[in-house]
Amino acid sequence: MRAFWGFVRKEFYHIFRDKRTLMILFGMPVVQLLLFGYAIRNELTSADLAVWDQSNDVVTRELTGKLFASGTFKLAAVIHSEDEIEDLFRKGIARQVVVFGPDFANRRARGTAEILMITDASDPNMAQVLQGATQSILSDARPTMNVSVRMLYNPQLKSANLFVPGLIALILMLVSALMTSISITREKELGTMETLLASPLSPVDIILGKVIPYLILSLVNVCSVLFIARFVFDVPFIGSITLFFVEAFLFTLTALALGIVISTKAKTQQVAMMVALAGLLLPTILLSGLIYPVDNMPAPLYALSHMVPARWFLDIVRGIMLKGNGIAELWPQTLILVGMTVALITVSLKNLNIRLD
Amino acid sequence: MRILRFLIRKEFLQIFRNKAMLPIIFVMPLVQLVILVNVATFDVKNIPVVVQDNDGTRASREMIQRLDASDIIDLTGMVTNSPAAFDVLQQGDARMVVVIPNGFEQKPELQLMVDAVDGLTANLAVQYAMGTLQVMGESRTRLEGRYRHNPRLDDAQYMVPGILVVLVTMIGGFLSAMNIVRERELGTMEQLNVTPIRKHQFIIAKLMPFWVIALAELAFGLLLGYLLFGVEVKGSLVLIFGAAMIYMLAILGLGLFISTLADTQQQAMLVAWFMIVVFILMGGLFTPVTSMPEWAQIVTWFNPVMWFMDLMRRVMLVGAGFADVWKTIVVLAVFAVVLNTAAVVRYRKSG
Repeated sequence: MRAFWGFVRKEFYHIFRDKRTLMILFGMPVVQLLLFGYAIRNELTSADLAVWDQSNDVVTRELTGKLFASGTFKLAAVIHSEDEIEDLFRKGIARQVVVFGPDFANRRARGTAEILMITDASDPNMAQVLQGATQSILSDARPTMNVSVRMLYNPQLKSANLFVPGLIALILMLVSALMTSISITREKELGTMETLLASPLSPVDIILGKVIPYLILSLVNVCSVLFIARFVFDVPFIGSITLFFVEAFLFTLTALALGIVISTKAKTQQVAMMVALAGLLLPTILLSGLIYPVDNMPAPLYALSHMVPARWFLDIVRGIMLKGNGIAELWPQTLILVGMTVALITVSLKNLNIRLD
Repeated sequence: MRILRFLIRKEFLQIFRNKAMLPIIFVMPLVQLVILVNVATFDVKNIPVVVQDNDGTRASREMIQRLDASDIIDLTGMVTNSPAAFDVLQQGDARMVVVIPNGFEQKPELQLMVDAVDGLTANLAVQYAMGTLQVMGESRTRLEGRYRHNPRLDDAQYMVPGILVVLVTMIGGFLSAMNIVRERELGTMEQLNVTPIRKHQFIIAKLMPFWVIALAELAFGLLLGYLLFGVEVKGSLVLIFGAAMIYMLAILGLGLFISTLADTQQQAMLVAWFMIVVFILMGGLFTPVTSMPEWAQIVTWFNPVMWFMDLMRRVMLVGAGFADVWKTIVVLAVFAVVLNTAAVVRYRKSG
């Protein structure tokens, strides 16, 4: 046992002695969260809009004012002919042109006024949102009945509330899985694994010793990330903090187990990195619901998303932080993560053949 | 020149001898294209909706029928009271609860309770629900929308150019950095240092193969995009490859710079990972740059990925010509000069 703790201490020294890695370990999550918390947004703010006002009367000027009053749009250009539209799109000056038909005020009185929205749909998501927003500002249709809409859990519709909890999963995955897989593979590649194997430590001890420091460091990261989420981005935290830490611990275990599995397969750091890149980063960003909702994916990818641990952890984090979910709602996700962790550890133990070739 | 030629040949041989490289070069684009293109949509289909009908009259049943008939809304069940409705949302079993209050037949009014954790989709879901329930009256002004350049709103058209940029960036910035650091870590750098090879020959020989591979990858990716998703290049291919050649110089400079920051492959990987993730997420691949706050948009000006992605999308989808994008090309050229100068200066010191 003493030998084991000595080994763990050595691993800590390794990490702390390497200033650059240390900076990456602690600095990267903070910088990433700050950067992405601000940068990853899909709200419509100050979108470049051009206006082609063919009648230029009181009503169209009022409507134009209404368009730009909300801060959703920003006037990029005023144009006077059809030919200019393409030029705007090609140069990327505006995303959408709103065209008020001729003789607008008079025609509106007769109910035949026309507004045309011409949108550069090269970004289809944005194009739809643009037209929806324009429509809701310009339309004078009155609802036939009173519809009250209650936006629960995120009433201001802030995308930070959606993405920041998600980034916790990404950061944990990156730090835990990537770092362990590289650190174990490194010993193999540099040949120092032989030295370790010749020591009285068993292979399981070696792996555990490699993993424990990263487990602790990851939990430190969880704290700093949570702090930023709460105090910089104002993301609410409704649920139980204890439950959150238990779940974060569980997810870190899953990530570490994944890292070990990768390292038992990979022979060089380069391979480990590439596998981690293809197998971890991309699925964690794309198939977990971090950015794009899982529900819309085509069936095969939807099925695949069930295999991504981050998908379940995202449910958990968003559930606890935004909805105030407790274990009563989150036990299925928790159970799945436990299952995944056990399975991954079993696989890695089976493959744990760090014998010399 | 002869030395340089041999060196470049050596690098090519080493790259292609590495078994992990070929799959990375040819399988990665395929996987990325297929996954990303299919995943990348904020649009909502099959929104799970639950109804709480407190009225139970003919009028309220008509509303339920409208929901049931919709393709976008997926009527998954009914609840009888508010606690049950909240429960459904808490559990995430439905995105929205439509509450039809008692007395709906006499005084029609509705309440929509929406799980707004994802604000954008919540908004879309409300729009769709209002449309399905036909609660909006006639507008006196006719509002007509037209989509240009991608009238079917096909996500692939938008994603493919962006993914190609990410691919060439990873190859140019990432693999080149690893390649140089590897020599240093394994100690073979010292052997090279004692040979008559000059520094600039070494650098050119290290970077040149990745320049060629990245451009070949771009061609391969364009072909895949066309074959798999029917993404055509509206603008000029010459313009795309011309711009890509300049862009790749900038990215290779970045790779060289990363390599001077690291002594081990582990460090190089981490730095490269970090940079690539930042570049991609701040480059507008997934979420539009225009949605970022003002200061973050200014930060993206220092991101070469953002510029090249914008150029690729405009040339490929909108058909922009040289006159429309020359400013971007100038910016890319500036990046190439600055990054390479910085890298070479640092490189001498550390070498």
